[in-house]
Amino acid sequence: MKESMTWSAGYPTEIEYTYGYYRELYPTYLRLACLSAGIATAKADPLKYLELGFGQGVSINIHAAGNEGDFGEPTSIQARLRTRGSLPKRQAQARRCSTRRLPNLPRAPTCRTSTSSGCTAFGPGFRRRTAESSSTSFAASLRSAASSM
Amino acid sequence: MLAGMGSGDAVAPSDEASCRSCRRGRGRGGQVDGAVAFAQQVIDSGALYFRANPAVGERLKALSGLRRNYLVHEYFTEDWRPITFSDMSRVLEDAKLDFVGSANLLDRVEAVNLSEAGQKLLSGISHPILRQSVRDYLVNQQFRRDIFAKGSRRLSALERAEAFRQQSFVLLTAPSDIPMKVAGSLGEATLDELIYRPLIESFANEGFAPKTLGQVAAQHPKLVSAPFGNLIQAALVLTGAGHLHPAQVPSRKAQARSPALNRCLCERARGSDAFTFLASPVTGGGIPVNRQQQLFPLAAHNGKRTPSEQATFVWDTLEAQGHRVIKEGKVLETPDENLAELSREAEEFAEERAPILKALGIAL
Repeated sequence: MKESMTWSAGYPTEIEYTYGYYRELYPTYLRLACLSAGIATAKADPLKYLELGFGQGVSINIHAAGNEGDFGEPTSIQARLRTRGSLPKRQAQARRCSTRRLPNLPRAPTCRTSTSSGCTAFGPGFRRRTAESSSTSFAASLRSAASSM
Repeated sequence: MLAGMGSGDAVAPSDEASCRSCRRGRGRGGQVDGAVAFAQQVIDSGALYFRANPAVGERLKALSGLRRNYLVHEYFTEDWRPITFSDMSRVLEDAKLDFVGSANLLDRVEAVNLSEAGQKLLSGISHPILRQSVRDYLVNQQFRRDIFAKGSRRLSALERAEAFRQQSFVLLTAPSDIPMKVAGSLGEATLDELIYRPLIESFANEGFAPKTLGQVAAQHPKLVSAPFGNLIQAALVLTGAGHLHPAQVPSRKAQARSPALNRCLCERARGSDAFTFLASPVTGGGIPVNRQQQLFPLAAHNGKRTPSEQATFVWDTLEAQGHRVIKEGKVLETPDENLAELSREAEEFAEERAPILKALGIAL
């Protein structure tokens, strides 16, 4: 490791993010937790799901594969990823986790400061992306990761 | 309707101060190890702060044993700032989001989390935010997993019970592997075998097929006379402990999509144990698995039908990379030992785990 840490928009970029999965984020579990608390959940059709602080993208890809709906990540991150198109995919993937500053969203401290929080939301503000494309892009980046090692 | 999760880091004042000063000291410019070692040096110098707050030193010791890539992304981001639950609630209130409850279902089992005096204290606090703040002190909460919702409507007790009757669940763990104990902040509690055993048995029946709580309550002779509220509680505890998961009717598309992702995750397991989950269209979530449990299905996908063929496939994969099987904390050295252990695991997988993964709709 180099002497000083490299940062991108507030997040360290040199050390790869963890590949965690958090079951509290999947839609059926969220609904059950709401029911447990005695809160009604409306059936959203289609379900619109936005995950902030998506790390390596493990949970959002699993959820996009296993559910129907629109699964998204913040537009600003998508844009950053596109601008890094020239990077090898593995690096792009590693950076994906590191560029989670969300200038286009309201400055809610919760979203900026927590690295492992997720949000599901039903509303505008993120790029639509079908579950199908999400699953494929993950598969592609993993394959490339495996072949470059 | 908006359901969201925010992670408000509930931090005792002393904890916050020490972590921040550790970061400010060398965090940004230095390395994780350097920052942790530096903070330890401060403690070892006999700093009075750490004498007055011994728990902070203990916490640092626990942190220094964790993986560096976790530590750097959890604590070393530029804006790392602990926030109290009440502050978090205020921020979300501005967005018209109300606190629903903890996403950790075991938080609601009071007996394992709160002393009797604590339970009594909390039951006297009607304000939901103050209640949670006090609870954070009672259980010494470090990280929270909360659900906030917009425009939420409270269900009547009847509506809630009816919704639970319709709620499907699916079992994730073989019944013999489910301990009759559950752990919380305060300690362990023993589960009531008269309720939990028949409940687990019901969900294991018919090849682990998902069932609604109402079905299970009506069908098992030992459960028909049990109060339904007890069954709800038991299902939530088993879910919180990770043995049961809520299920949905999987769409055709999700059933077609999940294998593509799972194949990819299993392929990845050939060279790494980083991804320890597979996608289930039945729950719509990830199911925890270990590396072998990803490699055996991959072997089957590659035409290795018997457990012994699958064990050989896995051993060939591991051996090519110089990897060895670890059994009870011991590295198995010889090829024979490795193969024998993998064969045993493959048999066990085929008998115990494969039927559960099948019920979860996990295929390659």
